[in-house]
Amino acid sequence: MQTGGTSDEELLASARTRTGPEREALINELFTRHYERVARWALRFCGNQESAADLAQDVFLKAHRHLHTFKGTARFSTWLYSIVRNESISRSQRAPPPMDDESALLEVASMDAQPDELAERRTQGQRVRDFLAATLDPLERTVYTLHYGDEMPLDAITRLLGLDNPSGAKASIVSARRKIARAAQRLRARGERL
Amino acid sequence: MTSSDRDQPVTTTRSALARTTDCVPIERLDAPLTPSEAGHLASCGRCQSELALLREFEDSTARAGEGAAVSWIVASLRRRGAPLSPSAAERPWWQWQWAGLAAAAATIALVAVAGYGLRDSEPAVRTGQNEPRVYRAGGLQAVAPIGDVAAVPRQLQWAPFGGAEVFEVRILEVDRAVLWQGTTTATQIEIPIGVVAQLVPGKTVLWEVSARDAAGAVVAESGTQRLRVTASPGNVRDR
Repeated sequence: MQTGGTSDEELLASARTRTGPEREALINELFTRHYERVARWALRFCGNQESAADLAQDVFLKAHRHLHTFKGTARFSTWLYSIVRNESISRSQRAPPPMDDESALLEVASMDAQPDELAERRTQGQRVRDFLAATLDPLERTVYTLHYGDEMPLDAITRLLGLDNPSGAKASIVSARRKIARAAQRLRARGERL
Repeated sequence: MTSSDRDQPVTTTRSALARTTDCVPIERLDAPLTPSEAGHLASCGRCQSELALLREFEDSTARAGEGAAVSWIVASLRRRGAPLSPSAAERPWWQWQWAGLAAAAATIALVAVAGYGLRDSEPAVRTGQNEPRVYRAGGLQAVAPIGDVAAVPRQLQWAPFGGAEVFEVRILEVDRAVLWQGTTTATQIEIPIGVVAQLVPGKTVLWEVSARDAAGAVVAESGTQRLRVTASPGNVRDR
C-alpha cells in the first residue's frame, strides 16, 4: 500500500473507505507517524521513560477509540494534541503533584470582591484574567496558568516549554508571585479591589 | 482566615484560569485567526498556554539528551501496537466491539433463561475440552490479570516454567474466537493497543498461555483465565 507523501487527513480518509487488514494497516501507519512526537511529549511531561511509555500508549489507545470523532475540520496532529494534553492533565490531576506555594492564588483571591458585590461570576473571572494579563509577562502567565490552572508540575512545564534557565518554570512562578504581590499592594493603596 | 474561607476564593481564582466561551478552540489555534480571536489570544493566558504547548507538540526538534529515551518509548509503542493476528485482523476494531456486544447480548439472554440464580453471574466461559484446570499442580501458573480487575491491563504475566523455551499466548473472546495471539521468551507479554482497546469495562475476555520446549512440544499450559475490567471512574477516563 502506497502511503508516502500522503497527508494524515488523506490517509485517514483512505482508511475510512476500507475494511479489514488494509484499513488497520493504514490506521497503524497514521499512528506510527506520530509515535515520536507523542513519545517526546510524554517524556517531557513524565520525566521518565517508563511512565512516558504508559502515557503514550494511553494516548494512542484513546485516539484509536475516538478516531471516529475526528471530523477533519482541524489537522490530525492538532486533534491528537488535544488528546495528549487532556490525558496528561487528567493523569496529573488524578495524582496531584506537589504544588508550589498557593499564596500566588491567595494573593489574587484576597483582592476578589465580596460575593454580594458581584454582578456575576463570569465578570469576576474576567477581572482576574485582566489583572493577570496586565501584571504578568506572557511566559509568567503561561506557567502560572498551567501550574495553578491545570495543576501541572513545574518540572513538567519546564521540560514541555523547553525552559533552559537554571530554575526553569519555578523562576517564572517566583517572579509572577512577586509581581502579583506588588500589583495587589498598589491596588490596595488606592483603595481598589478586583 | 479558615481553610474553607481560603478554599472558596482560591477555587474562584483557579476557575478564572480555565477556558471560557471566548477562548479560541484548540483546533483553531494553528489556523489563521479572525481579528477577534487574535485580540482575545493577545490577552488570554489560557489561550497563550494552549498555543505554547501546541507549538511544542508540533515542533519535531529533539532536544539534547532525550533521543535514547524517545527511541525506547517509540520501540515500546511499536511492540505494544504490533499487528494483530490474522484471525483478529479480519475484522476492523469497530466490528470487534459489535461482535462483543452481540456476544454479550446472547450471553445475557442465556443467563436470563437460566434463571434468577444466575442474574449476577459472569458470561459463561466455554473452555476447550482437553484444557488443564487452572493452577493444576505442575502446570503453567498464570499470574495476572485474573478475574475482575479495576484497571485496564497492559500486559499478561505468568510464572517461569523449567524447560520452556517459548511461550504462546492467546487472548480470546468468551466464545473462544481468537482476539490476538503472540509468542515470547519472557514470562510476560504486552497487550497490543488494538486489543487493549477492546478491554472495555464489563466485557469478559479469556487468555491462556502454553509453554513449548526446544523441540516445539507443548510442555505446560496455564488453562483458560477469565479477565474482566470492572466499571469504575478510575478506568473510564474518556473525555
